[in-house]
Amino acid sequence: MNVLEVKALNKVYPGKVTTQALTDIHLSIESGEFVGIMGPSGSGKTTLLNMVSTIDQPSSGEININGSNPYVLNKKELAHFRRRQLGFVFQDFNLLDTLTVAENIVLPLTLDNRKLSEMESLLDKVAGRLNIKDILNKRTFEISGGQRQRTAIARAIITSPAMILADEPTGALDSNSSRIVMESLEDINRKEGTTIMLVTHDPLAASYCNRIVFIKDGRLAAEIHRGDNRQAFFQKIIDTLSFWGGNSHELSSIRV
Amino acid sequence: MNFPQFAFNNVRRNARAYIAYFLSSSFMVMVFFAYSVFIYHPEITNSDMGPRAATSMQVAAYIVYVFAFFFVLYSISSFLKSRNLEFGLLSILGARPGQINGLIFLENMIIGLFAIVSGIAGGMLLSKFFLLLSTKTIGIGELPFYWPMKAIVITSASFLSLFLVISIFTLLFIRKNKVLELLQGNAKPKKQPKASILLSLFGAALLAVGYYAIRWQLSPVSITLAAVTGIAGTYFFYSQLSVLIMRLLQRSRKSTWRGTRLLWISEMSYKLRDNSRMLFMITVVTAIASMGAGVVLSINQAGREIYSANPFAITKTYYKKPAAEPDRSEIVEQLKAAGVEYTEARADILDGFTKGSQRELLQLLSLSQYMQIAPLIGLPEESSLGLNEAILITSKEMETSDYVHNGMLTLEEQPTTALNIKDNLVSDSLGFSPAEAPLLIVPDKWMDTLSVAKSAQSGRNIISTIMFLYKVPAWDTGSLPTVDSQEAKVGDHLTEWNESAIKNNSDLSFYLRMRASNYLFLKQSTAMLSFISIFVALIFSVSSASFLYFKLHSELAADIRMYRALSKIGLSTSEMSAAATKQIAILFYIPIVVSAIQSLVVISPILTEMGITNVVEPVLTTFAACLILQTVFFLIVKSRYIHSLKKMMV
Repeated sequence: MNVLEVKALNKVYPGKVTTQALTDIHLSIESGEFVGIMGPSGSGKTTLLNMVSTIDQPSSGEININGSNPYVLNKKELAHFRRRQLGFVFQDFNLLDTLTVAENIVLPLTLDNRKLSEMESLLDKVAGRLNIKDILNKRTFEISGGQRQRTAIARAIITSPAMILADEPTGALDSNSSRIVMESLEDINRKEGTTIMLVTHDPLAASYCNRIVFIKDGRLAAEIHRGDNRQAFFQKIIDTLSFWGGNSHELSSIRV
Repeated sequence: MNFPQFAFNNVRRNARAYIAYFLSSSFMVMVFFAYSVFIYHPEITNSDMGPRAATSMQVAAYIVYVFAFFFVLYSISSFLKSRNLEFGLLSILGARPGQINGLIFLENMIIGLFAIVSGIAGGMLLSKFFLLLSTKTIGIGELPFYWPMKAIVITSASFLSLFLVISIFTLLFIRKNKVLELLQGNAKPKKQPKASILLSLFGAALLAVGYYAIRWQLSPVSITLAAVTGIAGTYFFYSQLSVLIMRLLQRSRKSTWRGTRLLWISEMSYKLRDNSRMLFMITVVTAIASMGAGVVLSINQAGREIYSANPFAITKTYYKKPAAEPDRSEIVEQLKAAGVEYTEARADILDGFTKGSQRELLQLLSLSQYMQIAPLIGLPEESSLGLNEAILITSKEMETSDYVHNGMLTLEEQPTTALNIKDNLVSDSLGFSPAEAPLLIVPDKWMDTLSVAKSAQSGRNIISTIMFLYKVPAWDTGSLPTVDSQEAKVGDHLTEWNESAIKNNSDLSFYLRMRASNYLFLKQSTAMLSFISIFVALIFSVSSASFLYFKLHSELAADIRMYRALSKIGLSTSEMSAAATKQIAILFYIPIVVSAIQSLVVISPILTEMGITNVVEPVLTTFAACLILQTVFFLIVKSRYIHSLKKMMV
């Protein structure tokens, strides 16, 4: 079954200088897949992600998430849709300083007025899975970047969404934290069968995916699949990037 | 582009950021100017109410000025904080600290100058309305609009120096900051608000001491104690207790982990702590102003009640027995000159006390005189009384059981004979009698017997108080008299006559009471106070609202970032609006509610001491006015704030 179905998607930003951000994108993600989206700066990765996140409207084409078209919903229903069907992980975490780690994680559940006992047992489960149980009562500025990102992942998965959308989750992390975060995502994908769509610049982070879709100048450029060996897959990513990107300095892991 | 140009363009092109600061400063200038137009009005000195009014206005103007100082200082410090990033950038680009100081100084002066100019321009319009309103409420003749040169000069000079001083002051704020801190700006996570349990308990104890001090007794010492502990307690309430309450609330998952509560309760403890000084100031000043207004309104209401409880327009009372038939020609002449019908009645009232330890006061009146008065005060006539029979007339506030036991009443002066109370009448027209005690109507014979008995008891000649009562039906319109009414004018003539009579003869044995003059005198002398307290409360309400708006505005960027991120993960616009509205509402209404409670606590023993029992109503009236005003501001601020947030929701 396909969790995400993107058909003939086009996005044009009107204005004094009209920008064709995406052209004729076709993409489907099956349930349980871990798909990476890669491409150089300005290629349209974030535009595509925004469209899938229901944050932005496509100019033409169709997007189906879990068999339904979110673009027929009104703003309020859309917010509820995002809350229940999608989980978000951002580069800058987007955690609230005013809340503790535990409160940040259960926030989407409290907005849905879930029972306290249910929230507590879910919190216990996801915190155990992401290994952040002992920092639950800490504030977000008292913990490391990797812990913050794992908190954000816990918040994303606590609602058991149909799909997790991760936008450069390792962009602000050091290599060790990046590895822990990516391993956490991989672990969730393997053990829970959660579908993940990852947008990244970082070939190392991308190497944890099952499949990578490359975008260049708003068009689909290539697609590669992972075999058994992550090391070999990483090399394949580098090769594809240098083939499509041309310049090796674009492989920097820092997104500007 | 030279440096002043850069500063000017900075203000001009970034108008949105400066507008809240500018408007609030301009508003302060406007109010101050309106007061000074009144104070320096050329005709104010000529009216007899004028100098007193002008002095009170001057006091109000000082208060406005002092408040303006703190207000501008607070505003500017939070305004500068929101611009840390800009200053950091300038430093990185190589601006010397002196240049940045110069920039801030110039900007402040530019905004200050514009605020003064626009404030005076707006004040011109306001002062016309202000003159009209002040003369109406104070009850002096109309004041024409004039070209207020003196007021303009004084307003400009005082605010120019205010902005100058504050501009220099603000330089102290930013000097100590490092470039890195400036660049990080507001992105740094805020420290968790901390509340000490000890200090919170201390604050609660202070409030309790204040509460009991004012209940305990009304002496200067206890009032001072109550004021000091009350004000200090309020400070701790905002800085410690409220934060502690929020923190305790947060601890309970059951109550907090529900809906948007998780969001706004945690935000609230930050907002309360950040604004605690401001909330404290607003509360104290609102409470003081409302106490003033509450007392005044209570006194006014009491005045109205006294007026309407007296059915007689003019009363002439003799407290010494006149040698001959008392002369009332002046009153008669005045009434005739006014061309109104009147009825005269005479009442000889003798004081008596009930027998027993209570010794309740009674006012005795003979049946024959009562028969004359009864139709004038709307009571049934009584044709005859038995030998030991009497009629008791009480007002609604008096308890019959204090006087009558088993239908009988015994007087201290005649302990052997009990009076049979034939009838107990209730009337709300007893205001004419000299004391606030029930009237006891006794057979004529009793009056003489009692007079003799009382004289014998005290060892000197006790006589009854002789009153001449004048009822003028034309003046009993059911409404309150105005300064221009005939009743007030006749009253003024008689007052003048009475005063000159007193001057010529210090041993005067009578006094005149004109209910309209009494009422108007009370009204005028309290109107000033109420006018000023209401105006001060109004100014505080307006400036606190604009300050809170300003504070919210400077935190808007951070809030937008937060709500935008939350909206991505599925916070709907209505949930955002609910969470934000609750926070703004608490900030706006908590000072009003707290000061209402404080005023009620403080004002009720004071007014009870003054003999006014109806306390709740005037205080609530004052707060209803505050509440309405605050609600208007709340709605404006809320809609503007939520409007800006809404635009950023995805």
